[in-house]
Amino acid sequence: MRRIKKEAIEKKLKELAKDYRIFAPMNGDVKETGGEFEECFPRLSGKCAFLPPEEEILRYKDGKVEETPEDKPIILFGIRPCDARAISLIELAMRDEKFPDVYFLRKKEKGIIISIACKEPGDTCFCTSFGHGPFSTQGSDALLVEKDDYYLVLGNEKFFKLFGEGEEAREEDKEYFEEAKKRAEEKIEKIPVDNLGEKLLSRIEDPVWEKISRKCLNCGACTFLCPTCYCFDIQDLERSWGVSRRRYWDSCMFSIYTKEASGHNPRPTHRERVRNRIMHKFSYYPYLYGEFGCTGCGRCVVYCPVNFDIREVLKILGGSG
Amino acid sequence: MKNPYLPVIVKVKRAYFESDDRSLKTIDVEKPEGFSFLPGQFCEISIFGRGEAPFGIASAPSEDFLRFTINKAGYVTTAIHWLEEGDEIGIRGPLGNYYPVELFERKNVLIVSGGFAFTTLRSLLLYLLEERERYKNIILIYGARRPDLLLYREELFELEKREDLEIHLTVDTEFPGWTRHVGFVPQVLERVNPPAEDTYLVMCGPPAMIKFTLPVIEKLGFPPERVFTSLERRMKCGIGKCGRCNIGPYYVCRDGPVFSLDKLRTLPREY
Amino acid sequence: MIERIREEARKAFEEGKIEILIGFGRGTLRATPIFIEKKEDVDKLIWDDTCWINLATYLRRFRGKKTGIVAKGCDARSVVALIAEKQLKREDVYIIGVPCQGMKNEKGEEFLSCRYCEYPTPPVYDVLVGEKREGKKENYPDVSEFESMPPEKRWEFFSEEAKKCIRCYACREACPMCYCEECFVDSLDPRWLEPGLSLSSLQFWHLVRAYHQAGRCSDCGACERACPMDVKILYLTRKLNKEVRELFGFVTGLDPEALPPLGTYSTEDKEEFIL
Repeated sequence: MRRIKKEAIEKKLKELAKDYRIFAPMNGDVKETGGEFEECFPRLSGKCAFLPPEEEILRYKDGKVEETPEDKPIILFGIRPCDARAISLIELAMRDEKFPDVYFLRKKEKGIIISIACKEPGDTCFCTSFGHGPFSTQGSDALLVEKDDYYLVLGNEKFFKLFGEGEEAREEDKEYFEEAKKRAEEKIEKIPVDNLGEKLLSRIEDPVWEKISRKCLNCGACTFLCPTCYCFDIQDLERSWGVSRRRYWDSCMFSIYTKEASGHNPRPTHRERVRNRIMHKFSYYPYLYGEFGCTGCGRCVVYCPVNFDIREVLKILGGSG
Repeated sequence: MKNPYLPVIVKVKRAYFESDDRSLKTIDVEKPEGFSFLPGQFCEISIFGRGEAPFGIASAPSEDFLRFTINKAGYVTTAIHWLEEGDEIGIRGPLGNYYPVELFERKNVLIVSGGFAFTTLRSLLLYLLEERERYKNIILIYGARRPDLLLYREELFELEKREDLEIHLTVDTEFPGWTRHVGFVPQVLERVNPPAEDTYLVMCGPPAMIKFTLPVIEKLGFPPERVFTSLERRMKCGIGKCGRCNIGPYYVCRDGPVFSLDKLRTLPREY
Repeated sequence: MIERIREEARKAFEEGKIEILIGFGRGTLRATPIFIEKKEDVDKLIWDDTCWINLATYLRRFRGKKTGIVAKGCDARSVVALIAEKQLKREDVYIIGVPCQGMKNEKGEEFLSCRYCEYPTPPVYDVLVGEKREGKKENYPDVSEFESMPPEKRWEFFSEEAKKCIRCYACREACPMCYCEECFVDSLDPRWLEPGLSLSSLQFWHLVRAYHQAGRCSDCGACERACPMDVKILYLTRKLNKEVRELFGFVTGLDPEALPPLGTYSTEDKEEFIL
């Protein structure tokens, strides 16, 4: 563990804005900044940096297809560890030997993710349910813990090379880290997820899905704010110079997401759509990649217009509610 | 890293309507260098400015063009219907899995199809006929509402003459000059009564046909692990990333479109 | 209040007036919509000042079923508007009207739509629970304030609000009147607007949704409250409601027989805008 002066990191971040695109929480959301950031749990998550709401994937110009060129590398700074983990979870789906998602991966490979430990978790956090927590380092190149005018840093070479090494953390720093970590973790509700994937699979035709999903409005608030939801739509925009093919955030909650040109919809109602969202995160994800597709950040709980609470749903389906 | 989102530009070599009502159009396009595939795979076709949509490959792997037959249904398919010889389109592929032709060796193969779902089955049929000796009996049962809606019918009429192949073509109701079967595919299947023993069944058709064919298949004694079908779902990326075509943990675009019936039975009925 | 709501709900089940009841139950953060199918469950109903979802949104899902709804003034007016647009049959809906005390956000502040609410008491109901409440007669002071801004300021305000949108369509889905089979934003042919978050697309979306609400919106404010991005919407929809009132003397959701002015035609309609 190292300790680095806060102002040194802040100053460095502004300098790096020359060669990097800096994404950080600002005015409540993760957005591109000039190196400024604010300490908060942002509403729009860290995925905005690596999987933006809208992104060009190719151009068709003068009868030729051109790959959209790479932009400057990204520094995602000041997100919570849950968001950093989320990006590593998205990566599981995007990293694919046969069909790699080039646009996500090239950003991810050159990018740097720096999270700030979550000393004051919220009432809707349940990250510890998934074996990680407010001080988790998974997905972060560095985890910073605020202490007075210092950050205590658990980082990798990539981070220290850019931001400097500061000094060796003192014994009291390490104690502070452990204590803060313990205090934060204790505040978080843990939801039992043992064998959740199998349990869900065995209940796929259970009438309980109709009950659970009934109040869902099928808007995309949960999925757009979710740090691990990555689904997208692809559309062509005609421009004077040719065609820009772009991808946009999309949501499995929308009925048109799966609606076919014939009018047939394989997921016609809230029941199938909610079921798919839950199954994808808690059954298909572990089946495919060995991890749950949820970090327990609680955004979908907080921002759902009808207070659809995924924690309650997991308790019901996991047999503990 | 090879970018799987980039289409290759190819020229349309031929474009013509299949059906009298002009609802079905076939395009034969140039086959890109090194493009190799097996029957059942599909391509994403780009009409730049309109978008992309997935279509099964109807040509045989050995043919020097790629064939697609497209039902006019939506935004992209409408634009495909405007294509003429010499136009350029983008294609990505081959995508998805294929009919398990390795399993078919030294077995009987029964192909059951309806309407414009026959596309990839033309590819399969020609593929099987190319090395005819590898397979035992090959039977095709294929129907449509009207004679003109039977895809590639002139070619099929030619194939009917072969001794090493049994073809049953059917239309829903009597038509002047039509001398083959009359009736729905499941009825004809029942009438033909093919032996299930040592036989693999490949079935593609509209939902109504599938629905009424399934009980017949069961009655004939085909075990679900020897029945294969190709599914259609709304797709965008075609490579298992954009999310929309999953059935359970499988993506129709990447892990399908060909599924065995026993596998489908373990999954939610989202197709 | 809550006891009376439960009592009326129980009675409605016992008398066979309803097969299902849409009401509010205790959620984890605030009141949450619940769907009650047997009278034993009516004790799950609650009433407080977080019942801000417009429950009329769910009614079309139960068409053909005798459906009860616990409705505040604005919810009931949406029910009436839906009946006027032939989306529901009056006899299929059983309205347990609740004179509304006004809804509040998590900070305890009353919502704008409630602050100026003219119809806290449902104008149409099958049974009314509690004393009628008088509405306010302030004639859209918030809209007047917006109108008094110079055009460039109004444009700036509109643009700043639209920019916050992420197109999750929570506003649309929370709205009982946004029931189109295919929303204009989802149409590819014709493509009315481009996908994505360009300012012009966002502006287009917000303007056109508001226009589609003219004379159909009950001022419930559920759209604005549903928005996870805190985009202001009511200044647009309320402006149009004010216009509709001034031009056509029409108020949404008071009479199930009355068609919305933009859905009908009269030779008396004002025509100044043509000249």
